[in-house]
Parts: sequence; structure tokens; C-alpha cells
Amino acid sequence: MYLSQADLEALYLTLQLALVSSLILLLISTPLAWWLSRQNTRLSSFIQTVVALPLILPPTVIGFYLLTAMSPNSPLGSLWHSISGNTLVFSFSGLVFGSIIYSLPFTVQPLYSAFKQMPQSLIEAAATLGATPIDRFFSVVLPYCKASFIAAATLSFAHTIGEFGIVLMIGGNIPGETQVLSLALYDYVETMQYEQAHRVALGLVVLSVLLLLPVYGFNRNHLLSIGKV
Amino acid sequence: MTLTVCIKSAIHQQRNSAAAFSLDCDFSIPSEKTTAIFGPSGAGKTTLLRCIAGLEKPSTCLIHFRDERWHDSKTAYYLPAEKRKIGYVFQNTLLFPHLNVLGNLNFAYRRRFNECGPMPTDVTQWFELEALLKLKPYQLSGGQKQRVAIARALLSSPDLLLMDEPLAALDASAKQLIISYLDNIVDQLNIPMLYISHNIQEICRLADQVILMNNGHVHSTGPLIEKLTSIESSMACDDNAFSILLTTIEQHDDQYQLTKLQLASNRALSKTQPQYLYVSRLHNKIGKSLKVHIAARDISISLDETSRSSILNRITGTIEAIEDTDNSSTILRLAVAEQKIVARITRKSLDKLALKIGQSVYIQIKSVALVTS
Repeated sequence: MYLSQADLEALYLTLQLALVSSLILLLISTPLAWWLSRQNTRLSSFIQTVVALPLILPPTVIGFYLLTAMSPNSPLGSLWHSISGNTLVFSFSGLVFGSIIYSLPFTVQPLYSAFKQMPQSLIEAAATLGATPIDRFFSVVLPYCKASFIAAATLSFAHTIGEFGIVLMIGGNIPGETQVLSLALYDYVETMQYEQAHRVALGLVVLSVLLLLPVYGFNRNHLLSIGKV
Repeated sequence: MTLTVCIKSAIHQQRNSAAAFSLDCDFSIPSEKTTAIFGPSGAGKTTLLRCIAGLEKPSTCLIHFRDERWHDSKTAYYLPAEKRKIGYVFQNTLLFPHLNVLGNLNFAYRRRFNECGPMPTDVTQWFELEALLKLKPYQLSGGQKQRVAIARALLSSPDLLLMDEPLAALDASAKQLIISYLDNIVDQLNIPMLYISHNIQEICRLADQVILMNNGHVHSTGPLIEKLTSIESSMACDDNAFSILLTTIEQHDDQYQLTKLQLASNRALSKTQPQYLYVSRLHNKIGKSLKVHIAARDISISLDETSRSSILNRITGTIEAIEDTDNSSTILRLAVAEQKIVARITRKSLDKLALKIGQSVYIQIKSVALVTS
């Protein structure tokens, strides 16, 4: 067996976390990016800054604040506890929460640029042909920005897989519950099991390449198909 | 059945931009006909059309089409573009780049406003699009794109067709082709049309009435033939100014291969002799009414009957108005058998002949063209 039972569990957890986070991220980021692309106010600049913070701050800083915010005594922690009966820290839900914050710029940015570059006139043309705002979004904006949606989804998925600092801070590295692949790798290195570490590390590299390759390939085809290259 | 528009408002052309364009118009026109919006670049023609389409939302605005209210800023009523049942042909076509030609046509057809409109197979045939259906917009030429754009607008079966210089970017032959399509189809479908152009030849082919604009201001509206020769209008001062005269066929001359046309006039009132124009031999019946087109710069004025001249068409008229332009030429409006003609002559000739309002003159016309339609 290439990977041990524990590694497979970590892999499964990693993929599950990445999938859940990216889906939630797409749902949040689409309206947020749309709103940001149509606004040019102080509020929107401020929100854009906040969204971009994870790009600059060390993950440990965000992890630390999230840990504080999620502690059972905090408003958010106690609210979550009263809804679900569980604590946010050291749980899978807490990891999802942290990943969303951490990967938010990776979904919002590509969607924001896509919406910003999308010609308003095409949306107007759709309106004159009788398409309602929702119809216009699904029949014009979505297909026109398809490449960016796929890029946003993949980037957030891949970025969540590569996450380390935050999951360590708020997840606590519990095998089978919050121990994702990057943490498992860290454990192997710490305990000097280099052979296992190599396997996990190489596995992550292959996984990332397999994820990113189709995205850039698709992007190229999409641009070719609408005559942009 | 009218279109009523009253807008007095600054309009911000671009989102969040400080630059505003001020639009001032108040008119009401019969909505069954083809109406041209004419004016120089920057006159606000597109902005006016966008307001009518519901793509701009001026702060002080009242728009009614037939018995429907489209925009009434007093009661804060605003019907969004997708509910106005209009077809809009944009200057830059705006075909959806992610769809092929058929996809673009179906986009409109699936959302059509009236059930009785044309079918995709109809417009494909009218505009000869069979060979293009599978192509993406970027693979089409300018003329092909514009044909698809017009076909798409017609497929949505609109109550009013708005066209923003659909032919501006095309060469002369593509233009002729599309104009002849439009001419037939719009007549056949009986869709009223608002058509922006600053080319009066184009307007002449398609429109029955005009809205004249300048600097964001609509200064008059009315029947095309009247406006062509009304000297205050920008149309008479255009470089390509021309007049349209109503005539009837009087007789055919087989020896010289000519047809003699009589200028229409109200005989009961007219005490003057009937006047005639000659054109190349036509094959229409005697008595048929025809419109002829006379360019203002093809006219020369003389004070005596210079019979020794190769110019065949010579009629008499009275000077009604004289208007200087900002260059070397002068525009004259002449009354001929109760019709009007505009002539463009040089200011030097005006002074040399000492022409005055009310004076009778001989009008020599170098070429007379038929208005085809």
C-alpha cells in the first residue's frame, strides 16, 4: 500500500474540506464579487481590502484571531454551540469556516475581474431581448465568465488543500477529525519518518498538478472559442 | 397611436462618471411609421434611443408608447427594458460571443414578446444566414454580424424596433444589401421603427418622418419631405442635402429614351404653367406617381432662360429663403409648383446675381434620381 490507512483518512478529509469549502465559497463569492464589481464606494474598497487580507497576513495571524473568535466563550462560538451543539474549534466545521475566510480572495478575485471586464452592453443587449436580471445572469454572465468560475473553484479547492497554518491553529491536528494531508506531512517530518513524508509530499504535488492542468487547458479553449486569442 | 417622449435631464453616460450629457426633448410622433433620428455626432441620438429603450434612467422623464406607460419620473414609474417589448439593434451588434449564430437567434426566439412574430427559419432565409448558423460571432464579417443582429432583434417580435446606426461601420455594398432587406422586411412585418443615422441618403430610403437633434436638443419633428427643405433644419445645410419632389409620369419619349415627369401641384389653385422634368426612360405606366431626388449641389440658378445649354431639366421657381453656411456656400430654398427645393450655390454667385427673397429664377438641374422604394 502506497499510503497508510491514516494517510488515506487524511486525504479523504482534505478532499472533503476542499470540496465543501469551495462550494460554499462559490455561493458567497459570486454575489459578493458581483456587488464589488458594480460599486465604487468607500465601503466597497474597505470590503475589498478585508477580503484580500489573507493574501498578505501570515496564516498564523488569521488562525489566531479565528481561534479567539470561535472559542466557546465568544459570541460566534456560543452562537454556533447553541445552533449545532458542537464547538467550532478543533472540529471539521471550524476548519470549513477557517478555509472559507482564508481562501475567499482566491474565489472573489477571479470573479471580480471577470465581472469587471464583462461588457455591460452585452447584458443590456440581453435585456432588450426580454431577459430578466436572473435570466441575464444565467444565460449571459455565467457562460461568458465560465472560465473564471472554473478558475475560482479550482483555485479555492487547490488552495484549501495546501492550507497549513490556519488548520493547525484552529483544527488542532486531530487524526481522523481535523488532520489534513499537510498536517500529516508535518507530523511525519517532526517524527523523522521521511519515507512516509516523501509519499505524502509527492502525492500532494501530483494532486495539485492534476487539478490545475485542466483549468489552464480549459481557459485556453474557452478564450479561443469566443475569439479572444 | 403615438410615441410621446419628454426628457429634461442630465444623463451620466458611464457608471460613476462625473461627465453628464444634458438631454432636452419634448415630442410626440405617430408610432406606426419609420422615423429617423437625424443629427450630427454628439447630438444625443444614441442617448435618446437608450432612454426610450429603458437602458438609461433620466431623472426627469416621461415616455409613453401607444397606451403603455414606460417611464414616468413623477410617479417614480419605470418599466425595465426587458418589459418594453422593443428590439434594439446596436451599432456594434453585441452578438453574444459565447453562442454561435443559431444560438444568438434562439436566444431572442425563446424570449419573444409576441407569438405571431417571424420564425427562425424565416429570418434565416430573409437575411441569407443558412451558411452562417454554426459560426461564432468572431468568425463573421461586419456586414454578416449586422445581418445577424437585425435578424435577432426581429425574432424577438418587438412592438417597436430601435436601430442605432446599424450600417455606419459597413461599406457601400453591404449597406445597400442590408437597406434593401430592411426595406422589404419592415414593411412586411409592419413594425414601427426608430432609426438613427447621420446619413440622409439612408434616411431617405427608409424613413417617413424625422426627429432632428442637435446638442442634446430635439428641435423639430415632422414628415421627411417637409424637413428636407426646411432651411432651419440641419438637413438642408448638410453637405449631402437634397430635396424630394412628387411627380407623375406624363409621357414616354422612345426616340430619345426619356420619360417626362410632371411636378405634382394643386391645379385648381395653381395659375402657373405645369412644369416638367426628364429622366431616363422608365417602364411604369403613364399617370403613376413617383418621387424624385435632387441633390442641392446639382442645382444651378440663372436669371435668364439660357436655352443654349446641355442641361435638360430647367424649371422656374421663387426664392423663399436664403441661409449662409459657415463656408463658401449658401443654401437657397425655392418654391416650385407648391413644392420646395433646396439648392446649394456659392456665396460669390449669390452676390454676383444679386439674388433676393421673392425673386423668380430659372433652376437648372444636372441630375434627377428616382427614390427607389
